[in-house]
Amino acid sequence: MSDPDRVLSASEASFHIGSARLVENASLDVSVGEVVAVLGPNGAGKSTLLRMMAGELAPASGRIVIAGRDLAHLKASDLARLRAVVAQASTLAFPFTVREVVRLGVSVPGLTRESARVERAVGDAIARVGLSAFSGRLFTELSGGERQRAHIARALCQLTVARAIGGGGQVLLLDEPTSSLDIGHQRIVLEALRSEANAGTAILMVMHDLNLAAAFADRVAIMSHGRIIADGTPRRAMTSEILSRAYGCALSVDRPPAEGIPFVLPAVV
Amino acid sequence: MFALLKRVRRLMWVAGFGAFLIATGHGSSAALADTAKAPGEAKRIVSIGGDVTEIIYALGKGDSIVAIDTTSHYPPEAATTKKSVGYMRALSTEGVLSTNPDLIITSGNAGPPEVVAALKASSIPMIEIQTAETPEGVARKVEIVAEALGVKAAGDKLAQEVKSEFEGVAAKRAKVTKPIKALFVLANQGGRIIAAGEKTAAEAMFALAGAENAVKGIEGYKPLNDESAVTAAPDVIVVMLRSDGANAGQLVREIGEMKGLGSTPAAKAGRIIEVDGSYVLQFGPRAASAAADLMGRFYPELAGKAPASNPPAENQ
Amino acid sequence: MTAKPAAGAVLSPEHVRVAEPDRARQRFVLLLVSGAALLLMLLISLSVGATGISLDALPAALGALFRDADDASRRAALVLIDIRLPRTILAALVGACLAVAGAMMQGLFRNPLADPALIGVSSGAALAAVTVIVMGHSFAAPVVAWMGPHALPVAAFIGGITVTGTLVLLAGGRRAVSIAALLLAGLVIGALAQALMGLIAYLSDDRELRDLTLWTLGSLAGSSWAKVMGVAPFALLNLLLLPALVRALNGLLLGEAEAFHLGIDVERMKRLIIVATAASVAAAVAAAGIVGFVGIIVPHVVRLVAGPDHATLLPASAMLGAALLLAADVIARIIVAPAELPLGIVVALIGAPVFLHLVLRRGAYV
Repeated sequence: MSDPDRVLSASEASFHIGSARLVENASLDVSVGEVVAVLGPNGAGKSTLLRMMAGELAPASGRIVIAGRDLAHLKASDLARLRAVVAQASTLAFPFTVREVVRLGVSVPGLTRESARVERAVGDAIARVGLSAFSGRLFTELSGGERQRAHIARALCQLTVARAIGGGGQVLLLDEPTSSLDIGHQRIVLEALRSEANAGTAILMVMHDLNLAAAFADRVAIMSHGRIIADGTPRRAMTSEILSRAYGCALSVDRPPAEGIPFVLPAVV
Repeated sequence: MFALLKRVRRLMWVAGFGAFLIATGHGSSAALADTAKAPGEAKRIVSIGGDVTEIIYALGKGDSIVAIDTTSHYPPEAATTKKSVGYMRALSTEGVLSTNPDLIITSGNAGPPEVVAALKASSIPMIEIQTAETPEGVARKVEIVAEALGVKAAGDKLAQEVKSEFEGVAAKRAKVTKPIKALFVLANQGGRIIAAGEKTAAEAMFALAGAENAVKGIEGYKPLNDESAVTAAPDVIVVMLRSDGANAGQLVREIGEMKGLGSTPAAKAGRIIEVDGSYVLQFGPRAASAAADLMGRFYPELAGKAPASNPPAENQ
Repeated sequence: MTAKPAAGAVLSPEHVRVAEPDRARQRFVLLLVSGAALLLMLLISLSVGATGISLDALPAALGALFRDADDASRRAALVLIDIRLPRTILAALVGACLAVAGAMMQGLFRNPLADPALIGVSSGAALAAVTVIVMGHSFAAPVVAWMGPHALPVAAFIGGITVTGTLVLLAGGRRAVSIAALLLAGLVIGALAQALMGLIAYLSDDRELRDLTLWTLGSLAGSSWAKVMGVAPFALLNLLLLPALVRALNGLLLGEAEAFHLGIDVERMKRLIIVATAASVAAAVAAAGIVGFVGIIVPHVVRLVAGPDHATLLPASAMLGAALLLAADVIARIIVAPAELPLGIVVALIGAPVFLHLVLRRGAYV
């Protein structure tokens, strides 16, 4: 790859199930320290694109490159040192405690499970998402938002350890990480993600809250019917015209003069 | 606590020898084979199979039995005074050995095969008897047991008695002009009758008693539905009682109330006969008298009649 | 631990904090207790039996192996070394295999009630065993005559792994094994096997029917060194494989996609888990018949005590499963001595009350 900062990129990637074209010729990349939000209406193919870029789904055509290597040729264990993933809805069959769930993120081969360094990484990750008081609670007894944060902590922990083993340049992929969070916890999680980005991690996340995305993401990619129809900074990409086209309804975009960040509201007809 | 430690030490011994033991596992039993005692001295017999137990008692050697199985119901004192090694198809090697036997006699059906194999491999003489369910088979069974017990003379005598008793039965049977159709009911499973089909001990006994098995085309003991019961149209129904007779009258009542069997000639005429299963089905020394008893109840009119010119058509 | 409590302190109030379970300590205590229970049951199993010969006779018994000895020593050798030792080893191996198989299936299917029956191994083994019991006198007679007492266990083993293999092919073929497809195919194959067994049971005579009923109740009465040699490779291989499966099973508790995200080769691990389970359970069933319940209660009890981490769950289940089966077998062979109760009955009779007590006292979590 020409740009060494690009740690994860999809080029002309497509994914089909039967005749349904869920993602069509999508090209998207994320660079070191960058936060990219994927926006779009339900069924636009956002999660499918994310899952392809996480290595979970193999593209029907096109390719995904992570850290300069074709993702299709990477083993699961190698991939786990290059990227962490927070899926949309994760359940748990048996009652691990929060700490145990987060510790699952560090069971990367090459580290002893019980080492003090691992425990410190686990504790840090839990603290970063504001779950310290919950570390002894059973995962199955947590609320939806608490579970979501536990999974984010697990991914953060995986990245911390991966960084310690293999150096920087990791990717974090999240599917609607703030969907069940109240506004206070949204802030905590987004802060944790920003600090992760500052540590050099490239972050790609599917988001539903356009305003949160506009305020937080460095770049947004807007999808509609399986295609990426706009890719750029929130200021450039989030125009009323593009968003209205993507979501299929009239949307008006305001720009408070002080900051210039787009602020989207459904246009009242 | 000290006893436990002692045992732990011994266990470690075992572990140390484990590999060797596995290699020589069968050696120890093979080495014991030469201690087999000559027949005739048996003082501690394990008798497996009701027919075998009955024969041993009939030969006057009941006192030499140390243990029996759960199919040994006769004589009643056997079941009350002897230890039980369980059901004859579910024996335990150590269980049988724990009775410290010097002779094991089984009817051919003992199991499971691994336990029978292990018992055969032990130093204890073991005799398996499998003979046909015929008068000759019963006599042969008596002779084999007697020989094993070293009471050949008594065995020959008993075998001769059995044979002549069967001859008496055959003579009576010769008077039967028209064999009746009999149906044997093993059990009633919630309204479903388990009946004796072809190639069963019940059918063999019916043949000896001069009757024809009403159930055709089914092998073994099988459920019989209402329609088949009507088709079988038995003239007499024989039902099996528990060996303790606790369910006397119950099956007779139940059969009378059934749609299928209740409408057969046998049920209408009230000809439902209760028998002790071990008496009728085990083909021990009482088999001839069982056949005679059955025949007496099948053909009450035969008493005192002159022999018929035509011998009855025997089953198969 | 609280590196950056600034915002979290406000939103994670201390009143929700619960004491964190000390898993390291729980793990240590549980493994210690399980190990002690297993050792104790091994000793009791070797010391107790219908003959009343105890371990005190062991030196004499060992002596009888090497040189001429009196009758008592030979008897002791026969009972201790040819009867009780293989039986004890077999009980421990079968118990360990069944308990571990239960734990692995529950992890794979993410369901606390899952058992190896779901991958068809039990129904396959049972169908083959029933076939040998009933057809062994008719058209399978040459095989049975040739193999003797080994015919049934060998057939049960082959039947078990064959059915599981077929299931895996049906559920995935060369592609990914779908757990949902596996579950459905398993149910269908189980029902089919049940029907075939019913058909065979119908065709059987009185004695064969008794035999197959007894087989489905389980027993270790037919233990021999030959059986130990048959079961041990599969059981030991399975036990040795466990450490390699811990991480995968833990990850799979989060879900297949999540396990993949964590760096687990999910397809390979699923197949490995299924193959290891099928081989060890088929061997266990071949040796002991159907012994239910061990695979459900033992892992459940371990999870109640030390949580679902497979690093603890698998070894503790193996040891407690072995101890439970040894205890049940000791009871089975002494309670009605010189006769013997079917093993499966005893396992259920002692397992059920213990299980109920634990679940009711500690509270079920599912």
